[in-house]
Amino acid sequence: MLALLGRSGSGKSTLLNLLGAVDLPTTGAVMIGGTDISKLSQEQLALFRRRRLGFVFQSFHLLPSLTAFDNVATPWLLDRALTAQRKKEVADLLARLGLADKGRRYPDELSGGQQQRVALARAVVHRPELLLADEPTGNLDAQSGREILDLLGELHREFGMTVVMATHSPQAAERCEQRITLEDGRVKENRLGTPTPPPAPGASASDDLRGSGTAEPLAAVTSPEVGA
Amino acid sequence: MKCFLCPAVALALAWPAASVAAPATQPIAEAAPEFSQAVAPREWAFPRDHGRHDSFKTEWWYFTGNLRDDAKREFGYQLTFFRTAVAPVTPRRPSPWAFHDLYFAHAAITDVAGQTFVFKDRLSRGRAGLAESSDTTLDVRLLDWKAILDRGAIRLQANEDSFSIDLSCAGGRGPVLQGPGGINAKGRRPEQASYYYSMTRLKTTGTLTLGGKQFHVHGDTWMDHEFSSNALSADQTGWDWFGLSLADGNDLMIYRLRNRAGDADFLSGTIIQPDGTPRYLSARDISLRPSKPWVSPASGSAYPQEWAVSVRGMSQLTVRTRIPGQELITTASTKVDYFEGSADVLNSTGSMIGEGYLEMTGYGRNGL
Amino acid sequence: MIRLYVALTFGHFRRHRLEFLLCVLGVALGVAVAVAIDAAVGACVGSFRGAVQSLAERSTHAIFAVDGVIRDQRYIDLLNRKLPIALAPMINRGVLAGAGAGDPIVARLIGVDVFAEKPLRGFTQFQSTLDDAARRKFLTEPNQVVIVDSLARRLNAKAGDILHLTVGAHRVDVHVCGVIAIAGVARTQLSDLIIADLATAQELTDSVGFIDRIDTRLDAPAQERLLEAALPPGLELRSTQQQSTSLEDLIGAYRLNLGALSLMASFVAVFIVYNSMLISVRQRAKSLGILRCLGASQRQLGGLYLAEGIIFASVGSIVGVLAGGALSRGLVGYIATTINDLYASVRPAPVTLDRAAIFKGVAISFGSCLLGSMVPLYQAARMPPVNAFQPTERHRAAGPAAFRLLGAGLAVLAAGWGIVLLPSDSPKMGFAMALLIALGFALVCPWLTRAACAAVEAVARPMQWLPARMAAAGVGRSLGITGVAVAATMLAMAMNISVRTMVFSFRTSLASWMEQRFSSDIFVAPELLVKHKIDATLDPRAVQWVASQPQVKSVIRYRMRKVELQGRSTALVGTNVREVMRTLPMKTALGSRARFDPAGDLLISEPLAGRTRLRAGDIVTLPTPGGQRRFRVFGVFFDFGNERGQIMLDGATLASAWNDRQVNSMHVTLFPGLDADKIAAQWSSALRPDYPIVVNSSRYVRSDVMAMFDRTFAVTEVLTWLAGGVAFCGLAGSLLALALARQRDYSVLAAVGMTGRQTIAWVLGQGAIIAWTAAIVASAAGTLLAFVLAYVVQYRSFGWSIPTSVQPRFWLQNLLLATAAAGVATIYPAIRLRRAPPAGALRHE
Repeated sequence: MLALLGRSGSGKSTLLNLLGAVDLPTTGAVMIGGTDISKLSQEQLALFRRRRLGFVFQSFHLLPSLTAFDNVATPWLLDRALTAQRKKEVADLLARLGLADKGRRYPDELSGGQQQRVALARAVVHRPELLLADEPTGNLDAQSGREILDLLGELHREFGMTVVMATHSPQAAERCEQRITLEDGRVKENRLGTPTPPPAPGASASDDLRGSGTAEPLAAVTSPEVGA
Repeated sequence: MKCFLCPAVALALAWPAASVAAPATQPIAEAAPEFSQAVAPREWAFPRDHGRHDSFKTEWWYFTGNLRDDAKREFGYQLTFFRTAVAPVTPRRPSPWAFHDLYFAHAAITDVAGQTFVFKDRLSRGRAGLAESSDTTLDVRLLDWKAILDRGAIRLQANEDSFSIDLSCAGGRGPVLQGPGGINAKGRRPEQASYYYSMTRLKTTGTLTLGGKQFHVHGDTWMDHEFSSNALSADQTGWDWFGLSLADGNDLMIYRLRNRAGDADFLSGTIIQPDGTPRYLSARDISLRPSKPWVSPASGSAYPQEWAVSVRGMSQLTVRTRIPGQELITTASTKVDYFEGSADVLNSTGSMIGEGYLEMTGYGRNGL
Repeated sequence: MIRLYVALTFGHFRRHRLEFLLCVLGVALGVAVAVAIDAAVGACVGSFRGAVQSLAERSTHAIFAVDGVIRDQRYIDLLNRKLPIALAPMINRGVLAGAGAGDPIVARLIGVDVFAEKPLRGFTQFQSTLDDAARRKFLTEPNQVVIVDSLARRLNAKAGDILHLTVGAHRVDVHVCGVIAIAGVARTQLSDLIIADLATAQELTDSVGFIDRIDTRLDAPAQERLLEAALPPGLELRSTQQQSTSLEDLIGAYRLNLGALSLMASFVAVFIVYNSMLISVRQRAKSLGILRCLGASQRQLGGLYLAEGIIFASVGSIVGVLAGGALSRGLVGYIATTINDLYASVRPAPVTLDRAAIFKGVAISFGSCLLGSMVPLYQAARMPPVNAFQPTERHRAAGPAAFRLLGAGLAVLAAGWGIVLLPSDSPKMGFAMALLIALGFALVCPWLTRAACAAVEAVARPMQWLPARMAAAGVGRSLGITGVAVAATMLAMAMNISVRTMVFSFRTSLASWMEQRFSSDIFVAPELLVKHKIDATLDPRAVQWVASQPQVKSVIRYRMRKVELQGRSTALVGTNVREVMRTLPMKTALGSRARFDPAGDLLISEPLAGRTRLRAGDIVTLPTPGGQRRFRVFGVFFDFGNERGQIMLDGATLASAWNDRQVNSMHVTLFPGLDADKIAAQWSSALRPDYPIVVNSSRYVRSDVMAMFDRTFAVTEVLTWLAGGVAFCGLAGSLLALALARQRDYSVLAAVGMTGRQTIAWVLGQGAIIAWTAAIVASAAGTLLAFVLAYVVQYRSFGWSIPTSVQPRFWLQNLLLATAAAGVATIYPAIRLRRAPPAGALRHE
């Protein structure tokens, strides 16, 4: 897990959007898993996002016209590949996130914390390699925020994906192995550290990004300036 | 002679604006060669010659008279029919509207006691039912205005809303030719002449209606019938005409053509003696002196109301209109303004010695 | 506050330029159509009215004969009544005039008595325009005419030239004895005038002893009463005003048809404005909420939208009136052609938009904009401040509104249907019924749209068509916008379907009627009548010639004149009824055993039966020169030939009772096996040199009539397409708004991995749902309206019933068109969505 820190306008969201291939760099390249995504076509990008990325947003961004279940199943629905097996996975995931009975609810019938859990489920249901979270707790009360962070940590460990999280919250940052602070679009500080528990399991499967430069980074942004 | 009007009238009809635009300067109506000319003495035959004369361009039947009712209330009346040929007789055409003659008519009553004068004019193309005349006897009509010779009497009828004339005329003198052979010279050129006869002192009875009141009247009528194809020469701008019946038994007709300078251009006349024989007068025999002009508020014309008339062999006469304002403004037909009025004839002492009609034209803008 | 309005409004328009343009375009198109039709018809009517009034000049009234012509003697009798009223006889006929080798043109021949005219008309007095000789010729010589200078110019003729006139049954050469200039406006309005003396005109028009009218001048009501009292039966007094509106009476139904169509276009425009404003309210819900939080009153927010409505209206007025002016210039030619084909010769002057037309355009624009902005205005004013902070969009639209509208729609439909029960024969009520039905269908559209969305969702969900589901959800969640778009599109399409169905049915009926009516081989008629709608007869020698040709098996002669029936002038046709009845399509007739009695029976046409309420078996009394004559109505026949209705009776009976042996046309049947076209051509070349006659095969006549029919309805169909254009503007605007409203959903899905193709499918899907819902509803509404048009409006307007059938191919065409339109309308929103980086919409606002 990696936390992006910095003041408003320091470039956190921009960096996340670039990583998520929902925004395009004016110059430079974005490398993810060895692929220069800035060179991919729009269709390829879409498939790339669908298969390999997950998004969690500050304001949840659920599709208001779909039920919680369908929102979670969106990546499969886009593939028209929601098999019975996968339906079960979706249901299990919802149950896992404490939303077992909320699958048929619409977003406007859920609380903020519940919505964000649905969003989280949507972001991980297809087992992405990279989960991008933009202030995932920003719109939540402290209790809900903690729950989301806990879940994020759990999923990170369980599914083994890299999590890049932009945040203001020191509590959220503390849970990350690496913390990068941005200022005016540049890296100001890059600190490695032990994430603080709870729960504190062996930081195992998802530390590809942990050692800066030690391993091939999964994602890299090479840019003279990641501008705000 | 009144009816020198007619050439001008013909003009006015065919050129509605012409008489207004340039009445006196127009080189008028050189008669088309197809029309006959009044140059040779005519074999007269009546009643045939009371009728229409197709080969002549203009023709009119003129009735004027001074009448009175049993209460001695004095009236004058005028009923005139004009015919003018737009073209000589043309081949017969299918449409009854095809025509070559235009007709118009003027009717007027002078109420001396009431100091009123009413008149009306009409116009129509010659067409059966609208306006027509016989070529075998006196029978001329314009709608329901008519002058018809019937069993020795002439019926005159003109009915209007404001007045009506319904008279019967019989007896009297004439026809008397107004010139040798009926030729009445109008100018110095030989073809400037008309055929002209009169019948005077026609005993007249009948009814005049005026202001809704009927008056049973009697008196004398003077009839003129004249036809020609020629007209005034260019510098003849007006005329004066007198038709007077005197107490001594003579009838006196005088006409004067005036030139642009206002002088007499041509002056002539006839005395019809009690036995009915005419004595023709020349310019040398006549002298006229107009005076007391009355200015018409309607037309602006200034008509003399009193004339000193001297005729060789007769005592001095004064002709005085009975009332002023006997002016016809003929907007519906000829567009000529003229004075046609009942008049008294006085001797030098001022006594009434006769009566008659006085016609004056060319005293204003719409003179002829 | 004004500054805030301006800033908010223009800021909004700047950001939503295309929607603004589409809305204004829609309004402007609606205005343009209404203005153009009005101006074009107005120009035709105006030229007619101007000509009538200029011809009347100082006269105020004219006396006409109910049966067409006035005997000379009647005029003379009237003169002898010595009313203090000027009376002048006139002949007034349409003719063809040519000079030299040029093509002849339609002109007006008047015959006047210049002496009687003097108090009434100045231009026939030829003041200082003709010299003595010319005037004498004009008055006294046959075949002499005076023409106006503009006609002289068009014919390239001058005084002294010979004109070739086609008058009635004949061609005749006349001499131009003078060319006159008419002063003032009359110069253009009387630009086709040939003046003849009354005698000349009677001779030229073959009507010696008759005149067409008596002009008069009545300055006071008392005079009018006096003259009315003096008129013998059979003559009627009509004011110049009445004469000049006679064309308007004639074309009233036609004009009403066009007007109703343009009204529909404006009606569609109301929906567009409504839609556009509603979208703008939605798009600015947050801004409005914030404004309310900051203390803006309801009235102020309402004012904001009122201001917007006024801006739409103003721009719509200007663009619409300008476009309408341009459009009318194109339209006037077509409308004039139709009027010339069907009613009377008009030569409209170039169209100019007068103050009334401009006012009408502005009124329509403001009316539709203000009407359309009422609900959005109300909504904006009622926008709760909390809107500024609404966290999550609701997942479905307000259901009860759609349901309430459904109820209202059904009620309006019922009311529309109820109109047919009202005891009124007015075509206007028919249009009101059509309008109510259209409105009713429009009102049920939101509910139907929602139902359609539910259906799509139901199908797409198990199929895992996420774009389709998103489309259904998008449309269904914005019923306020999409329901109106569906309604507007539906209205335009329903109009198109109904008009085309009605026209198609009409055309089919007419074609089959023509087959029966013109079942003979050759049709012979005067050129003036066939080509210029000018009354004319056939020369008896030509009639004789045709009848004596060896190829002829049988001939049916037709004579048409006028007769007074129930106080109105009615066409009276004399022919061999028994023969004609073999093929005449009858609506009703006396029992099968009854036989048509030529001496005492007659037939009436369907329009006449409708107008007079006469039925088979009734007795009618017709005035003839020999007195009143009674006839029995034997039956009612279908007739598309004369919307004013006609009476058909035996030719011999007409000839003897009216002393009229003229012939207007002949239907010739040849011996079998002969080529009608070839023989028609032979006869034509034999007869044409001597007679102004048209000889055509009946087949040619039928196709000619059909071509005329198509010309007549071309404008109608163009109008329905214009209404479609208005609707398209609304559809495109709605789709764009919808796409923009769903931009965040798009971004989310893009982030989750939706491809561009799926995006397009989604946006297209929205268009398709709207368009297809509209098309399906329009098929039902259009067909129903077609029946209303055919059985109520046409029947009430023209008196003929048109058997109408359901035409599914128009439904299909509309469906395809709607699909294409939706496709076109989604291109821009799709491109715009795809081009925008998805991140843009994801920012936390």
